[in-house]
Amino acid sequence: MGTISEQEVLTVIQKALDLDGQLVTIESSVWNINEWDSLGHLGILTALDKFFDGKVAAIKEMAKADSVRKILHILKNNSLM
Amino acid sequence: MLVKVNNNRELKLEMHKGVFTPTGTSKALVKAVGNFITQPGKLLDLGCGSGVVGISLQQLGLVKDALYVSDLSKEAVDCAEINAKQYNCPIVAKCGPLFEPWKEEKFDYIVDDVSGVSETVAKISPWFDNVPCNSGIDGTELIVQVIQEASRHLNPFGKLFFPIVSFSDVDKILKVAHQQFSRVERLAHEEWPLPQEMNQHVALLKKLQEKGVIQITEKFGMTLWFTDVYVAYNA
Repeated sequence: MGTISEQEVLTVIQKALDLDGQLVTIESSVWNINEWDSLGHLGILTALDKFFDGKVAAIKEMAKADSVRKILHILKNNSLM
Repeated sequence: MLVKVNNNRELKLEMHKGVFTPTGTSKALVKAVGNFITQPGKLLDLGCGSGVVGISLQQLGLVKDALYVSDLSKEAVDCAEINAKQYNCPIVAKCGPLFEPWKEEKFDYIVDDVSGVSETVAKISPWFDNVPCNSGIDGTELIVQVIQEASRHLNPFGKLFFPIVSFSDVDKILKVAHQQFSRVERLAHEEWPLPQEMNQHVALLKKLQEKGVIQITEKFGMTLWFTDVYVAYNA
């Protein structure tokens, strides 16, 4: 991979959370988005796994990635961005 | 309890003690059936609990005339009637096991939401507080009976909608569905993280999985289970 932009990942998260109007940014997290609960979190991870062709499901740290910043960091550490 | 029917509509439903509180499975069922049905029809909400599934579908304009609901629990039937009244939803509500209250009745749509969770799992889950779960060790007893009897209660070209929860013997349920109906399709698949209360029982769940009673997976460092929603077509 390596050609995926941060904006593309933000768009995946935005769609997964099915937000009405509110924009997902790099500062978004479980603390400032109501829809980001445990189901919302799983929705994000499932959508990212689909986007990255099944390469996210095996990344255990993803379970605790409670912000966009952390998700991007983990994706980069795993050479998916 | 507030229930989001779609992006534009929320229902505030009463929940009574001893009545099953809707879970993600009921929500997945409403969403899948709501997206699938294009014509309103005579609809039975079987195992109605608070009436959440049937009333949501009625509010989406998918129920012709009255909504038919039934449940084994008298409290549930009363609760569904109260909730239906709040939303001016005409309702025919009966108390009794599975299809027993509907001996001579036929429907265009039957939406099954009876308990389909292994009794062993039900005991360690947060879902069956003061609510009975009589679906057997592998969670299939009630749903298999529904699938076997449904065609007698469906009009020609009628449809049975049923969720399969992975805390049951999924393959056994699907085998019966394919034996009873010539066409069975999966409409939705949703995965859920294990409720916090169940995390301490992962070893037991893994044992049940080894015996083929349930299906769970490990993903993203979490233990996940799933709900599939199916439609079976009556010839």
